[in-house]
Amino acid sequence: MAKSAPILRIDLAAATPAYEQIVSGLRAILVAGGFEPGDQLPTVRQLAVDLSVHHNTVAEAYRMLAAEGWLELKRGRGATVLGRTTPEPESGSREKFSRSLRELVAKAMADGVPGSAITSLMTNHMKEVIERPAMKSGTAERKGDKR
Amino acid sequence: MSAQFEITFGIFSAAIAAMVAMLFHKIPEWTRPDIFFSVTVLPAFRETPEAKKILRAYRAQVWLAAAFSAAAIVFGVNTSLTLFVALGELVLVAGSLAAFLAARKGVLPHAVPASGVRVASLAPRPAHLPGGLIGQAGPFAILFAIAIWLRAHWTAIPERFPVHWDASGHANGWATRSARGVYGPLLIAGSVLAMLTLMAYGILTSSRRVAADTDGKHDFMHRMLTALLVIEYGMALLFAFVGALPIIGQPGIALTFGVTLVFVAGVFVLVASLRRNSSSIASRAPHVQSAAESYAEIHHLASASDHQPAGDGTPDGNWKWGVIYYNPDDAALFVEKRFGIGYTMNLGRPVAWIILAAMLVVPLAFAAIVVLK
Repeated sequence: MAKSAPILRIDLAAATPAYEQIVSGLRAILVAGGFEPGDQLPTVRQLAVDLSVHHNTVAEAYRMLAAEGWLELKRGRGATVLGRTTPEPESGSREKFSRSLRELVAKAMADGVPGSAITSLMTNHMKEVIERPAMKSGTAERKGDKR
Repeated sequence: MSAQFEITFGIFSAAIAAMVAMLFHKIPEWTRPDIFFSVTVLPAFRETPEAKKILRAYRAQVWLAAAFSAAAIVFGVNTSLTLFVALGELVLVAGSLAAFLAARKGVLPHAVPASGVRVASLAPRPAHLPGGLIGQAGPFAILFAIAIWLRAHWTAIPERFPVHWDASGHANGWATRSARGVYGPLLIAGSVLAMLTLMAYGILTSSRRVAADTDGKHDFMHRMLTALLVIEYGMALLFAFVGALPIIGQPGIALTFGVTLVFVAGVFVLVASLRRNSSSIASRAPHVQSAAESYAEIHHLASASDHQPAGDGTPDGNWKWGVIYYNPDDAALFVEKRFGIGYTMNLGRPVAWIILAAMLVVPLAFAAIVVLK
């Protein structure tokens, strides 16, 4: 695990359901290399307690991340981070990202965030995510496994 | 009632009443800056004339109740009507709670919605109670040691010894030299300690961490659990003293009340010290007045985007009368009290009712086994 523990932040007042926010937040941390393969995530109960949400909300989020190949869920052992393979981009992924980004930037500007701040933030986030420790390629692996 | 008993009992009762009144006086200062009389407000609200007026009125009512309480205690002691002494203590607690409810009603129009932002650390949570297994076993070991000592001095225990005294200080309840009579108080103490230990474990595993970005060693929960362990040691020593009475004999009224008073005062000082630490943090940084050193950070994370108070992560609407928390959608079993110090249970969780029943029934069941013949 990285030296400083990642912090997950959600907004229960937001229109986006809590489980989707948990999925997005955790995915961002995983993509940024906040965890290494083999690391344990907090238990469903612990994370639900800390986020003031129902157990089922966190359980659903963990299931979705497991379906994406980020986590391995085992009864009694909680959620273990996997060394996920980066899949080949689906057709239309780039266009979908472009559209989402455009909408996001437009929303930020509509909310009054200056263009220079948006550019700066995007640069920072891109550095944080894209220049992260290289994602592992190959099949899903666990820490300590031979590659 | 003997003169000595009158004086000792009067001082004891008055001291307890004064400590309770002082506790109620100070409690509003010990809550989070954005929680005032169990209502989420802007942190700056505390400094407004309206808030100060509400606080002054609350404190005036608390001390008025304390004055009535003192009058009832003095009357009860002078007339040997102990009912009035009990009534005096009751008046103080009931009066203070009424003052709280009145203050809360005054604050409610100033309530603001708390931020919906929730922050969680993804670091592994400390899984051990303060002191570890040995530290936690200490209070039980004290009781066990006394039990062994009593067994070793079995023949020194009188066939019949007093276990209860009337208002005049004369024994009116007796136990015989039997396993139930001798070990009974230790058994009751053991059951109470077991409940406290289980509660501590529940707080450790099923309460929110105040600070999401600490290692868990400096947050309010850790200090609270340490304080609980100290109280357990105090209780074990107190019950060990009671358990040893058949051999050491009646220690005298002054010593009995003195030991009890020291224990109660110790609990009060310990509880007060939990929040005094946070006040010192607050004095260094006026915008940070929480129990946890890193609350400033979590507060910043929670409120930076929408300029709303971070609150304590529990919605106002789920607090009944500001003291009872009921939220079936919150996974936390224990949450920080909004008025008072420590934790309270989320009654929206069915297991809370089971724990409440067990906390009431188990010690009572042991007491019944000991007392009933």
